Amino acid sequence: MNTFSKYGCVLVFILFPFIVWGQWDTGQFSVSFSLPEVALVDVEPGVDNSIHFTILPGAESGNSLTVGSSSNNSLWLNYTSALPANQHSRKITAEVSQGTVPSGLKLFLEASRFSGNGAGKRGQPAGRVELSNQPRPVVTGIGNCYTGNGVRAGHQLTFSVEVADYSEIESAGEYNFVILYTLTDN
Amino acid sequence: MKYKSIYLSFLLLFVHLYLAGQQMSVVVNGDAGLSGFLPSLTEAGNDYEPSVESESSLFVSVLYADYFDYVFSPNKKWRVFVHKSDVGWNSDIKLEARRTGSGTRVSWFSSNANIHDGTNYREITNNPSFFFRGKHGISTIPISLKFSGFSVIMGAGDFETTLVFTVYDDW
Repeated sequence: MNTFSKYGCVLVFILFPFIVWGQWDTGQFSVSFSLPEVALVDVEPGVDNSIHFTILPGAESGNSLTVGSSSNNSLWLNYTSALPANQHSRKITAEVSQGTVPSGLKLFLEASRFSGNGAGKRGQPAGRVELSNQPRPVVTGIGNCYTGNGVRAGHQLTFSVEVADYSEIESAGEYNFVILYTLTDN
Repeated sequence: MKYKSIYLSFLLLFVHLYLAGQQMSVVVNGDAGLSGFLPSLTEAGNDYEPSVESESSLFVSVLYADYFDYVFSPNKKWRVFVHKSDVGWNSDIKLEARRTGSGTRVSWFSSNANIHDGTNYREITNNPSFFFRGKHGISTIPISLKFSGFSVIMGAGDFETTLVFTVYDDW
């Protein structure tokens, strides 16, 4: 009995501070936070994204036509992409959405490798692509990423024009067409 | 007999303190629609804006469990700790909270109800940390939340965690 009482007192002493400091109550609140699916693409610098090609006659009889400033690389492709969990990648396609490329000419577009800051899984260039009225991929394998905004961020775009068939070259004139870029799911 | 009386004395003291310790409770309520706080993204090529801050739509009340305690034991001090318990969370997303107001005194029987600390943002982790302290019952203490550390490279998705507020007697 004496031993029991002694150990009983010791137990009370041990528990005492825990009981005193252990008085508590809790309240809970569920917090949720959503990150949306994002697919944004833009061409920079954005102020004036027009580019000009001029087809000139040869300097001498018998010479071929010459393309003045046959390539242009002043534009940059920026994008931001956030995919849902069940989707692996996206691509950027380009197409001539308004107007048509004049007969006898071919318009090419090549995206450079990614450069700049940004982060995530940036896309890979699809090489030199001939543009037409049908969408053609120019950058593929885009995951969750952002490229940075402005020139020298993302992929530099190089346009070039070639005379494909002299027999189809028509008379002088001015042709305007619009290139449409689409960041699309694979 | 000697040990018995000592034993009984400690038991009486223990029961008294235990009952005293049951006086406080914490109630959390407010707008559960925090999923409506979407991060801002304005232009292609950019990441999200660095942080999103909620309005004071979350309220914590520290109350006495028994209304008679407001009359007979009105000046009980307490401390509130906070932590989170993740349901589906990305560890890169930082969640911070701060107290944006002093709440409302629950009873007229204590003219010196007060609340201190917690007015600067502090990160909420999975381990309990001190948030604010006070005296007497105070209801509807407004809490603002701030999210940061998120990025588009996390992809799209929903993230959920449970905030746990714990009130302790401050002896």
